Amino acid sequence: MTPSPAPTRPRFMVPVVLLSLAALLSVTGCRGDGSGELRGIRMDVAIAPTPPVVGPSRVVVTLTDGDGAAVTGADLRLEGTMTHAGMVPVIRAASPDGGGRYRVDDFEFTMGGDWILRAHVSFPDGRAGILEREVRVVSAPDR
Amino acid sequence: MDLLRVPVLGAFLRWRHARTALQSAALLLAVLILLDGWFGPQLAPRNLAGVIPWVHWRGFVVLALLVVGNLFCMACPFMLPRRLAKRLLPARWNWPAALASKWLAVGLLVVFFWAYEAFSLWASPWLTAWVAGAYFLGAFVVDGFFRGAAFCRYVCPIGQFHFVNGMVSPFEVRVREPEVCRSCATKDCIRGRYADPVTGANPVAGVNSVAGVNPVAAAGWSGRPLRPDPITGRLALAGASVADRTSPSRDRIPSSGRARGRAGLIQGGCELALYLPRKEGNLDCTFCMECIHACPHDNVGILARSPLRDLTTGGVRAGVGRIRSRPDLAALALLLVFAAFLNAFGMVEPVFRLQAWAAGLLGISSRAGFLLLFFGMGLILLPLLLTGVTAWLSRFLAGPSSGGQGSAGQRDAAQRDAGQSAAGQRDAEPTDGGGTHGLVARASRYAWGLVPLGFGMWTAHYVHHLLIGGLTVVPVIQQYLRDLGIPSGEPGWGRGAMVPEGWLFPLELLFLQGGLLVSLLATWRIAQQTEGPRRRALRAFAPWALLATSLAGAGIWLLLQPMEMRGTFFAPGL
Repeated sequence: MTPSPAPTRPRFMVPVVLLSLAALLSVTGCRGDGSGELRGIRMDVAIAPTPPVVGPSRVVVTLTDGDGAAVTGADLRLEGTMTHAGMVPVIRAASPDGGGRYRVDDFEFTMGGDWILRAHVSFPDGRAGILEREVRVVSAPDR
Repeated sequence: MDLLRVPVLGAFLRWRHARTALQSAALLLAVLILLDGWFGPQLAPRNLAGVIPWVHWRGFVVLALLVVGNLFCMACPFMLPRRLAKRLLPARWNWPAALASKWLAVGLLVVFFWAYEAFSLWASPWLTAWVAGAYFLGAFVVDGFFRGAAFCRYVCPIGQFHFVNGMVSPFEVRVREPEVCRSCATKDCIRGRYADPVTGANPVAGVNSVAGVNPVAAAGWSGRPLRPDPITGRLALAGASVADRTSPSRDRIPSSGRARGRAGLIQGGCELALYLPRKEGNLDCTFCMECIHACPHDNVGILARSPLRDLTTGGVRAGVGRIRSRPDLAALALLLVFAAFLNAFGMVEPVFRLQAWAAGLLGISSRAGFLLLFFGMGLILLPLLLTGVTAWLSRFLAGPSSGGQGSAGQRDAAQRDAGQSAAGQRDAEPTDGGGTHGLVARASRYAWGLVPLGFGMWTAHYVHHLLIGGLTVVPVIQQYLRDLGIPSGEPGWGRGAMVPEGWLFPLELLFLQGGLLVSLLATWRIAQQTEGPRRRALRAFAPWALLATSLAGAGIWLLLQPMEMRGTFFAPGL
């Protein structure tokens, strides 16, 4: 093996790393959850069968305002996702059912466990946001 | 096969900055994960800190160990800030002798597995980011104050997982020709390579013939500066002779490495005290490749090997000692084997019912408290009980005088199994000769036979998550970029599975059964080495085979259960 000169350590490595980290920090910022402009709107969820089991279910989402009045006229898309990463979410469009109710007839819970139902709500006036409710789904009906 | 000789790949790995390049890429990814974990949406499927660590990283770790070796320690991002720590902090203390074993790492692993369930780390990007941050901080502080790679060797829970399961890997960092090492006087692989004290140049590699011998090496140079004798002009050695430094003890941290103030150091040697000529297997090897770059004879490679040798070698190993005399290592191996099953237990509906019933019976309403009891039993008491009973039964069935050097027949059998050959000094060295009459020594020896089974279960579990959810990272990255204002197309949230769902169970079964097969082979070989005569070996082997098969049966039952991802809310009923 032929001798080679002793390698030098790049002196710029530390400041470059620190500057890169600072740049990353500044552009990353806060990525919100998108709850948006729906403050004051309450979401209730009814699922059939009860308790929720793996398989197709009927989900009815009821939107009410702070006074308890039904919130109508919304466009609602229901997303179900699990708390564990790597699960494909279930996404269905809901149909208005009157009285602030929005119904999905074929919502498929693909696995037992802890789910989060996220209602993506938007209004003709441009207001939009996401409301969430936690649901536990069992693999088989309780005896 | 030698990976360093593979076109393109070999050239990359031989490049002295290969590891730094891999670590830099991993560091960048780690920073993104930390930032998204702390500041991004706190829904794990929508966050890089939820998807990448718990779906991709775990899956690729086990696949890398299965196909190559400890690639994730090779590319460890925690080591880059740690290099900074070696410059900024003293790094001059020796790791305390009282902690120079795997017991600390065993404790940390138990805590980690408990915390993983108790705090549902897999569902919390924020906590995941803090765990990763703790690793960075731990590596920085520990290796900033202590010499060598104390964090890797004695602390890092991830590293211990890689070390133990890396024993099943098909590749190993080791010397190519043992004869070359016998004639090497500088032992750069562990002490590091220093610039020539006279010329300042990289020293010429030592040559075996007397006429061409490197004068620096011939002087028995210990790494300390040489000074020309003012009268004769010959180089005078200062300090201890080479002989004092050629057999590092298990616990001594080598005096080389990038310690601050070590003038003239060109290339560090192994910081985990794995003296290459006596290194056996992948235990404690981070695949850092320091030895590869340090060796002046180009005599270290990443070589293909049979994992059975690593699992069954009972002789003295560099940096480790004799396996049967290391109950801490055996405890680590057993912990990881049982944790493989317990980790998957926490995901099936019948176990949730059992947990709820037990919690009600014991009157424990705290989920964390109940899980502490559950994991204490599952990771400590149950392994102790099962391996203790198995070791006792194995000794009872094998009969008296089954340990020690034994008869000539036992020695012959052991040497045959160790593969003694003409080149054979290295092959013959690992001969065990027994010494497993005590229960602890017996369990410490046979525990390694269970490692492939544990690895099979880990692989089945982690590859399952990778295959059913690997593509979910695509919309997560798309959404991440969109949130930063970078156009990336509409995220396709329907993406997830990388293979048809029908492939999953057969693959999982293949990994588990493959692990069982290798475990049975390894355990049989251990029995042959330690017991000698075939009948005695068979009787000693049987209880361990029963334990392995029972665990595999439990694994198959687990894989057949419907999975439930619980644990983030609804404390009542756990």
